[in-house]
Amino acid sequence: MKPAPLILALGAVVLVAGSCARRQPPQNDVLMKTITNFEEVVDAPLAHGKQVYSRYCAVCHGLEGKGDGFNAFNVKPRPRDFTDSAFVTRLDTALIVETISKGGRSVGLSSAMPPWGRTLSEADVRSAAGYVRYLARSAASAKPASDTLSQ
Amino acid sequence: MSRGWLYWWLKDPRDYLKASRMPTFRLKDDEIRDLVEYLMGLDAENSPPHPITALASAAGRSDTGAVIVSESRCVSCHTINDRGGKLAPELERIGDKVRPEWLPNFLRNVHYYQPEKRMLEYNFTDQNALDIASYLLGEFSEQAYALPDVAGQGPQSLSRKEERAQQGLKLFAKYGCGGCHAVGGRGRLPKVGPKLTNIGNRLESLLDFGTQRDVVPTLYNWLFMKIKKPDIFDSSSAMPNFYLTDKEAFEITVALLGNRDNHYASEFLVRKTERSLYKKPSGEFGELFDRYSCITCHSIDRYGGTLSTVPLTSEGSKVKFEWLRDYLINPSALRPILTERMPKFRMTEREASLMADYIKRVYVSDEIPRFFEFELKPADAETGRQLFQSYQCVNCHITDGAGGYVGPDLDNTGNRLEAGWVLKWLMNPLKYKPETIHPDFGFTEPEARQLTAYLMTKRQAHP
Repeated sequence: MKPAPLILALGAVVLVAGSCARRQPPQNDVLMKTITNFEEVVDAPLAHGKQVYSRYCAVCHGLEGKGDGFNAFNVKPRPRDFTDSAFVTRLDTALIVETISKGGRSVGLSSAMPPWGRTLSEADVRSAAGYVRYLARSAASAKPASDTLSQ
Repeated sequence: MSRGWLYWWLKDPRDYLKASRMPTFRLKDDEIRDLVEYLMGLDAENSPPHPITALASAAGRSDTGAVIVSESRCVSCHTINDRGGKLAPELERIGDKVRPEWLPNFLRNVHYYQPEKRMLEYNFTDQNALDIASYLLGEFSEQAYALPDVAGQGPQSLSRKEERAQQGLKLFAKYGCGGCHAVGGRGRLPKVGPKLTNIGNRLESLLDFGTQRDVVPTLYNWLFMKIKKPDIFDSSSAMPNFYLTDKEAFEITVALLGNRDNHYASEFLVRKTERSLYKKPSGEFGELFDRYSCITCHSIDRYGGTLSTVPLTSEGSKVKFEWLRDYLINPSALRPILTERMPKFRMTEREASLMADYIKRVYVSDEIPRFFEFELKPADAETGRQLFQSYQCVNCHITDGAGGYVGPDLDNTGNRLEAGWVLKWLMNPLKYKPETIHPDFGFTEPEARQLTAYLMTKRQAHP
């Protein structure tokens, strides 16, 4: 697709968002709702990473990245827990990408992690790596929040 | 179909089925009654080829029906109590929807009632159909869809009914029902909505925002609001409400805004060269293929359904004849994690042999060696076993009774698969199943041969 119409459309939304806040139409809940959902809709790389992750990785690593996918109990050593954010943040993105595309064996880890580089495109692998980081990030930011709640 | 159900369905389809794709037309009580009269008058004139006249409740055994429903894997396509497939209508309140005498007749004569043959026609006997109907009608009914009485009116006279039906026909046209529903053998009618071609070029100064004076008058706002709530600018609008989520409405709006200057995004264009090579099979196999609606779930040459994970394009090169014949008669769960399973058709042995034979001869790929099994050596099998261990294939596949459930059970590979297929599959899984999640390990030819030799030793005794 030519990017032009999409960018135009997105630009229009941003404009609308700005001018809307000024006018504050109270009865128009339909329009206000779009703006709150806007980010979720446009963060395309993250959405793509989630798609790739859910399809290829979640079966072992779990949908939320806790290393508890339904096949996890068959895998020894257990699949990596990506919500261990201290561990994941230490990793270089290049290493995550290499592990995904060449498999655990190539980086001296378990061969239970298969190589995906011949199945997925480089962009897919990068998006999945980005999503792994996102899982760690959101686990890290969720923790203190729940602590405050319990206090 | 029951009159009461139809009334409430037309009033708001989501009341019966939350996920319905049928939109709500904001019809008035009188309009609904007119349409009900018109639609109920459209009863088929001829009787089906295998008519069942006995009443289901009298002749069916509900417990037997329950067993057949589970055996037939109805939930692969139908939803029952929020579980099951999305391909076919939900069944959890089927008892409220259909007339009791219609259901067994439908089950016995699916393709008479449904000529487009999406649903397969099981080899049910009359008794099977009565049993299933008895189970479904008894189990899945809330008796909640009676036609409401019109206040202060007795039973309708025949001429009043006739009048209503006439009016219903006009409403059917007015609301463009024929755009989606084929009626009376006439097929679908043209759409009644205005053209959307180049709608992205619509001048903002010409947009009518009706009573919505506070809105910034952009095309984006107009489209989004119209899609979200079609009568927002004009309460007399005939456009129905699809109850889309904000995200869906946003995405449609963006797509419409991009529809301008006669330009179409290349993803939406089908190239001549990309068209499928699929040709509907003919002869006796074609009749069976049609009857069991194989193409609803399976694909051939990228044409057909995607419910099944197994394309039939080169199925003949993949599985062995005896296994395929037996599987057609009694499909076992090869991939236990899948909720969509092959139904039990109640196929005769003759039908199964005929279908297996055709598939073995026609749906083949010349790239897959036919007699490769004879080239395998016992020494290869031993190396293959070691490779199998070192790649930890058992994490996803059951072998020797233990292992993961992600891929198919491999304990019967020698009886099920052709060695040539296993070899080629291991070397390039994506080629044979583009949507597979089987990793491509980049095996060399000798490695793939060794793994094949090992896997072909896996055989289970015939049950």
